[in-house]
Amino acid sequence: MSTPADTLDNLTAALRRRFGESARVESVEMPTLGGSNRTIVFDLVEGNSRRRLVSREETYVAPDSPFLPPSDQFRLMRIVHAHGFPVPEPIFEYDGADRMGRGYVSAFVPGTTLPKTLIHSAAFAEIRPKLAAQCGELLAMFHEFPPEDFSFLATRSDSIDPIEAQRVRYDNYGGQRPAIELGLRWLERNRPTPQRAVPLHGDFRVGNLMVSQAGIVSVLDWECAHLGSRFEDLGWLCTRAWRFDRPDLIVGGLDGAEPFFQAYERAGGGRVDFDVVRYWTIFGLVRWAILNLMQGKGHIDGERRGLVFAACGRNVDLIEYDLLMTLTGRYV
Amino acid sequence: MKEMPDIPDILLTVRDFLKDLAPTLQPGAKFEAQVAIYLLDIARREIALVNAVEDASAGEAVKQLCDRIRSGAHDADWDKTVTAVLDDTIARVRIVRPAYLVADHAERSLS
Repeated sequence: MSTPADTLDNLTAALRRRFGESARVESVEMPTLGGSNRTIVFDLVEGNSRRRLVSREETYVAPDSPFLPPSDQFRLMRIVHAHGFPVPEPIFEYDGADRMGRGYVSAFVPGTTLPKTLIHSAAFAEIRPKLAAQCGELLAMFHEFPPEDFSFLATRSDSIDPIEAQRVRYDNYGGQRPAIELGLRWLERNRPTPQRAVPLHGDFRVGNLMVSQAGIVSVLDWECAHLGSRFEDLGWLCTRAWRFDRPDLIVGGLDGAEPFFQAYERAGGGRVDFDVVRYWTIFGLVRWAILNLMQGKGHIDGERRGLVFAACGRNVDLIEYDLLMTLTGRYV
Repeated sequence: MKEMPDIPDILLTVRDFLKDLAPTLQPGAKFEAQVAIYLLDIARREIALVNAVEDASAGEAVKQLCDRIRSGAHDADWDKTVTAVLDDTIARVRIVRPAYLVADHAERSLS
């Protein structure tokens, strides 16, 4: 495994291949967040100019990974950036000549993603009431982008049948969870009328939104993008797990449903059917339980051990509780 | 003869040590120390409750239940099945994070 010093040498070499021999790397930060990517934030210095950039490398590669390969993430970011959507500007992708993993470099966008800060901090009190509506506007804008620009996502299993895609992953991670079986069965028996397929972000939630005092300035983490019903994205943002310690505020712990749905409709996203959104919040709990099952399995199998992954394995019980409480009508 | 201190006590002792240590650590290590405390709490409660909780996740019974749910064999007694699985889940959450349960499910939980 490479040391941080090796990584910086390799990063500098990758930058010099593209920006010339005088390019330097300064002011490096390596956030140590659990997850499937290694992130390096740094300044690219060229003569008198200085740009803050982010390197993102995939660290978890498995044949059953539910995540979009970095090359597709990069391609997607270029498309949405060209459409004027707020996303970190994609700069370049690593290739075989770089001694980096699979990944890419994008612009750094300042702000915060931290759910607790966004939900509770006095510093965001003024902007907070506007965030749910802005989520609606952004999702409406994204869902109305020309689907043909995103046809390379059509072969993703999530694009073909999102429920079957989850079931296959769940079986791969060991299965044997009656609560998840109940969730999958309920989803199977209550499928809504099929909707026209639109591009979906797939992980649009508090935690993946970069927010400054100007509001949402960037949408991050495109690794779950696929095609499907627009209500799937709306439901994921409203899934109980993403309300953090404010489950009463169904839109990401930020606000009630009305401002979000109204903004989505006003921005041209089409009429919102709350029952269908609710269906996708149950899908969201099943999906979140299965993602945590994946993390726990990685720990148990020894593919990547760690405190956080071990905790994820036990968190499945909590998500199953939310799921069953929702199925019995005690939770909304 | 019961070992003294018993396992829950040992885990509690280590947990309290980590809790005192955590504020002195760098941000990354501090976060991991907090997760370590969380895991020790789970282990402590599970050991304390191990005789009280039926391990319904073990073996053939669970596999059969899963197969029956998937094939639709429980569609006819859906509510009863959901309630039974919820009861089992509540027992697990009492170990993982009792404070997560609604009031009428939280009874008999250990802190």
